[in-house]
Amino acid sequence: MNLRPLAVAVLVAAGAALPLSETISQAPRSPLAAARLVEESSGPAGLGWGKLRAWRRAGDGWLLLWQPSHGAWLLRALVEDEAKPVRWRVHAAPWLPGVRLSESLARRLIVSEGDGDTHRLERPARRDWDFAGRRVAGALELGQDLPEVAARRLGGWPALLAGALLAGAVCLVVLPGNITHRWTLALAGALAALIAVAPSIVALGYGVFRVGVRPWVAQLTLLAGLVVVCAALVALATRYGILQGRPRAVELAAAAGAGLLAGRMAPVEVGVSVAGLTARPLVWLAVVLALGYLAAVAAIGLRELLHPLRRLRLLVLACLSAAAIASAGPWLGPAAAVLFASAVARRRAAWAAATVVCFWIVGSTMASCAWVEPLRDALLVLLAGTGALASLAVAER
Amino acid sequence: MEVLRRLGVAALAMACLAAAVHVTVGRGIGGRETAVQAVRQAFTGLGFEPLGTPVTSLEGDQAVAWALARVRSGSELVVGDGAAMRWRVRFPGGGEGATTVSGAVWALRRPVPADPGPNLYLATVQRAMRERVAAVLPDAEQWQWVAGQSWREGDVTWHRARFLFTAKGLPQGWQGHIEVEMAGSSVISLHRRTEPLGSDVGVVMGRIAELELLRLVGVLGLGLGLVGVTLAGAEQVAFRRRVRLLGGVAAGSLAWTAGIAGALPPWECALGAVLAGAVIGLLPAPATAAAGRRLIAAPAGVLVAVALLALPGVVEHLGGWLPPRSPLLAEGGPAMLAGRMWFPALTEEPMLRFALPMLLAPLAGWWGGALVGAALGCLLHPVPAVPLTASLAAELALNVAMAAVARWGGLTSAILARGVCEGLLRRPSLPAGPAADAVVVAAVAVAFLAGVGRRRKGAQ
Repeated sequence: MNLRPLAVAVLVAAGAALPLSETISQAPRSPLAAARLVEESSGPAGLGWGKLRAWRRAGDGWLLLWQPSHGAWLLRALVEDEAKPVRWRVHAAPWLPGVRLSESLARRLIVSEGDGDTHRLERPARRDWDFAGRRVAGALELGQDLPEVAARRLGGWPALLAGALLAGAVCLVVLPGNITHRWTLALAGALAALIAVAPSIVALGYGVFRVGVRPWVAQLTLLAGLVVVCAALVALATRYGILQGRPRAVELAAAAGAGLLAGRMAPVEVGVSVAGLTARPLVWLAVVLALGYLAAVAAIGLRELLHPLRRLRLLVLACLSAAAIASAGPWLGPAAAVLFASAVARRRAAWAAATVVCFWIVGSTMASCAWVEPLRDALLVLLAGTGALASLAVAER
Repeated sequence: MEVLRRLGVAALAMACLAAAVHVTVGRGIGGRETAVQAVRQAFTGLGFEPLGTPVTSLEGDQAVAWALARVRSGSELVVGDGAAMRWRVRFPGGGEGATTVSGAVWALRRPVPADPGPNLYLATVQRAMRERVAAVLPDAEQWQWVAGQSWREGDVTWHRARFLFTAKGLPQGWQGHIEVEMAGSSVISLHRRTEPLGSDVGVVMGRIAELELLRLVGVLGLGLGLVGVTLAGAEQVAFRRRVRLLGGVAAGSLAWTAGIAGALPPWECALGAVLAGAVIGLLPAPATAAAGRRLIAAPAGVLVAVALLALPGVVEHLGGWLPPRSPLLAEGGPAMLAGRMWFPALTEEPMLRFALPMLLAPLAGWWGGALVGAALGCLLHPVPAVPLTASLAAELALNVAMAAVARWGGLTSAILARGVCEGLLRRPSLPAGPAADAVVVAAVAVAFLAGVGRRRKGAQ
């Protein structure tokens, strides 16, 4: 009797159902719904907002950005998940003309008492006021400063993974094995599709939209950066191809379980922003293939670096996994993909890594999003993936 | 035939040097001597004799300079240009002033005299100010009074007044103010200020911000190229092929020195040094070009520079605006010019014209890689233009020309041609002077001698 399908189901179910403590709260609404909330409830009157250009998940809320096509000002709004009033702030170019209000008039404009720090800023053709974070430019109320999103430290894991990637690339040249170009073709196709839908994913470039920069230039910058990165990935995959090998169902099921656990343990904030896109399945596909490829190369490198340890290799990998769970944070998914793929045979590393990444995305989305569209898509991917693994298990001898 | 060839080379060398001299000599920002004379005369008019030999320096506001150039493209320097660029003159014994490039007094400040004269009543201040300043600025009677204030320091009464003046050189919508300070009955300082029209400055500042953003993509491309070079270097080590570490260190040091001389930010110097060092040290040595092909470097550099210097006029004729390519280097001297012209040549050319074509050759061929390099290179140094694509197209043309030079004459030719081209393009944005002219002309001569020297070596 073939028990492999049952093992597949158990491993995937374990990854999906093992109880874990929540690290971030689920986003209750999509960025588009949050934007509607802002447009209906608040914001500066008498000022053209332009289109909704970008969004970003920040803690327990959405940061949203509108900018008109001339780019001379932009509007940022923070919509928190709990029922709090929406906070917004207009950023205006310093050269925009206005009036030079006295302090009392400026205070009257924003109905502010005379407490807190007050700063006056003389611009070339107007006067700005800052009343403890509430700002006025000329005769225009700019709103209140929004909380800064703290920049995260990269930590040691990206360096470790980059080192393994370098070692893997060298290994693939020195010990090439039987290279297949199907992965490279699939990767190139997915990245080409990603570039084709790039206009709909520029909403992820929250930091690129700046005052004074026309939105089309910001979008062009994002597109050009994406093209450069994709071209570099394809060139890398052409030079350092993936080894040919047949996948094993139970191995992949274990990878799927590990990916689901990694995604649920440490969901990534950028994943929540991606979930707000309509082209999210295509982004997921490109990320699975690109990150899966890179993780496979890094896994080959890590495997060869640990080769002198022989049987102790698995013990070291287990220790590294424990360390990753404790300290990797948002890098847990890529680290899990590399560590898991380095535990399997070289020729099956790409399948294992891609499976970990795919189910890491599913797990992360299910743990961090609470609105229906991404949950539906993640569930579909989960069911389709599990079905594919079960079919593979049935077909295996 | 050999005689004819030598004659041809000599004629080419003479033509290149003549073109370089024509484009360079007398093209810097002049007016240094006039400025000292004008400030001295103005002080004399105010009853003050400055002592000692003054120190002069050029100061300017790049955004305002570009905004002025955009509004009045094609016009010559006039008094209003003091808004963008001024000569500051400081006397060691006290007193300093500023003049426009054309020699008009822009600002003055003299030491407070021991006896500043009798204190003036408020009602008579305006008249007294106009009379005393008229000795320096004859149009003082036409200024419009805006505001004034008075205060007392010890026994001396101080007055400060602000006037609105109509500057003939300023574009429509730009405002000029002049602030005059008096102690007792002596004028102590006068200072002009220009308030540009917001939309004029806004267009330029917006373009500057956009180009800074686009430049990040070029830097990203260079970073990814460095990753490729590192991987290729690791392969070299793995297969025990020759790695020229000393050459890499030398190239990196040279690039670093050029960056420091050019007063570039430390991170840019470091990135340039790493790029140059990694490409030269880790990649296989570039193939040696056929003898005599380096002769192409100097003519190519001069030709590309002349074409790019003429381009703003062409763009203006087509209804657009493209400023001169090089930003203002106010404090620039010959060393800074040398650094600024050789730094891009030493850092970008090895990566864009040698490493990228070599790494991408299996995927897209040599020219495919070179065009990727040109596309990345065109994002690194563009200047604001209307439309923005005019500046990007000019940069792309420069990069494609350098790729052609690299293909025909090798990497060394590309480095030399780029150095010559950058020198000729950047020269007009520095103060005039024979030392800076000599730096550029010497670069042309060195580029030519490199080709001649190579030919002789090959002939042996």
